[in-house]
Amino acid sequence: MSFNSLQYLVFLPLTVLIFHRLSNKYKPYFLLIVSYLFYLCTHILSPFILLFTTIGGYFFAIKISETISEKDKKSLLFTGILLNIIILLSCREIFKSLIPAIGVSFFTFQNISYLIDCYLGIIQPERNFLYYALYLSFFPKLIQGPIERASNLIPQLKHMKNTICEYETLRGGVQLFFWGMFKKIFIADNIAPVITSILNDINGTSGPVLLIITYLYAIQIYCDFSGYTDMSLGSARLFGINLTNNFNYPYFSPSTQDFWRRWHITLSGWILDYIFKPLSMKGRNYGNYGVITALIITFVICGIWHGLTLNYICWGLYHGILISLSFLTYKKWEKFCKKYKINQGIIYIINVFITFNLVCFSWLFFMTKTLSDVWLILSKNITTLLNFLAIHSFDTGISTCFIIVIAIFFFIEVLQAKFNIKAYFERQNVFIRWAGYYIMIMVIILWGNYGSKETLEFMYFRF
Amino acid sequence: MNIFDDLNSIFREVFDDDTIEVNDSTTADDVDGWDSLSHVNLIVTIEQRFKIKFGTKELLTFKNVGDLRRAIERKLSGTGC
Repeated sequence: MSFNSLQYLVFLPLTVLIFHRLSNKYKPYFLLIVSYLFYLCTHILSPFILLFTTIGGYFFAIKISETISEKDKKSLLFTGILLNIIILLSCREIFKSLIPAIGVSFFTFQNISYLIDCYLGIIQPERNFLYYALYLSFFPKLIQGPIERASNLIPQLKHMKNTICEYETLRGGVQLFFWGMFKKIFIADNIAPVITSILNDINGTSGPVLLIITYLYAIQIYCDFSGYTDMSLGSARLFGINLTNNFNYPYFSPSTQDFWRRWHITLSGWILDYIFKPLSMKGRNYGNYGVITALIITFVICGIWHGLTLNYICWGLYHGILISLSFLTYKKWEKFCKKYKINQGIIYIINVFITFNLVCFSWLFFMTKTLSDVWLILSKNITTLLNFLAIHSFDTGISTCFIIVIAIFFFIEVLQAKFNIKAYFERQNVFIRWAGYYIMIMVIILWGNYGSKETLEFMYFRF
Repeated sequence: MNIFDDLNSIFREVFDDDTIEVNDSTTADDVDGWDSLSHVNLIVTIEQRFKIKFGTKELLTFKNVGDLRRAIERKLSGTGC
């Protein structure tokens, strides 16, 4: 059951209604059952995989904390991590036609983070199986994240009993949900068919069109994934739960390092804490070489997390190299700008422009299936740019009106980032607010794309 | 010279900012430029200056300067692992 499906639009309000009518004692039980039913809709075997992973994480964590010998603790931790990796690889690669457990990479990563945090003593293992099971299965974040830490979610789940159904909280949740839906159904899904049709005939597509879809894909993947995240956070808020935001205006980042602090924040936080930090600390006496090696290994693993294909590995490698270069040159660039007294605003715009273009290029590895397609699009893009955008007549199949709406959308994002326009909107009187809601819902209904299966599905489902 | 004087001098040198004043509750959010990349350099400098060696496990548990200070003190007094 996808967030943008009609079933979910019935399922969610019904669940919220029953949840708030229930006596406090039964709320966590109810959410657990509902979450497993939600997951059952993806595949008959999926809940069993989830349950198996949960039982493993629960017992391994308790055993790790009760073990005194450091050597035994380490062995238990590695066995627990290995078990999760085997589950992940089995579902994602080896038996994917048999058990297509959607979201397995998200809950196994949460399980691993929980085991490591218990090993390090950052958290104590959860003794109540109900809350641990709910931590892994809570349906708003089950299929596509955010990758929550136990220290953030479990305490909230425990206090859920005291959740009061406040109008402000519900309103905020519903607003966020529909804003996400607008990003997904109206923006991302209207771009999707254009890109799919062009990718079917890359050879026959002109350079300028390929250049435009390179940027359009960046908008699509952002609106698709951040739209999903908004719907996820909005759904959770209806139960009084605050999940971690995954996006912080990533396309306005002035460096690739900064981009990774703002894009898929919970995944980048995960790889940083559990892969980069141990690696960089191990290699800390090798100076910059140690840091760069750790960065490249970390990002290659991050690429592999998306799928065991050459494209994803190269995507990870590319980001590893980019961040390494940024790490080596950022201070020198800052000093250079200070020395020549270049205006801060201009520096920021130049940095954002360069970072955005470098990131857009990296999406070519996501957009296509083979490296030869990446090279073909890239070479055509370069030729187009060298001809200084010698744009003849071309048609991407996207209307000018839609491009203007995308521009307005990003303008709203800028306003939100700078001035918190959402809070300003909420202070307006009831007529203005409801006019805004009606416009957004009408846009989603009238101009949203409800076409093929490929547009209905969220792009990050495959991970 | 107490441990905070040494830490302040190390932080100022690593982050190239003479105004830094750290205390037990200082975290990475409070110091401009203290991210996971510069953290490596910070740890190496502390180890060299105090002539100590942290274990990888304890390095992963530091949440603030207070954790770091206590670990240094344990090492200097010879009670740490």
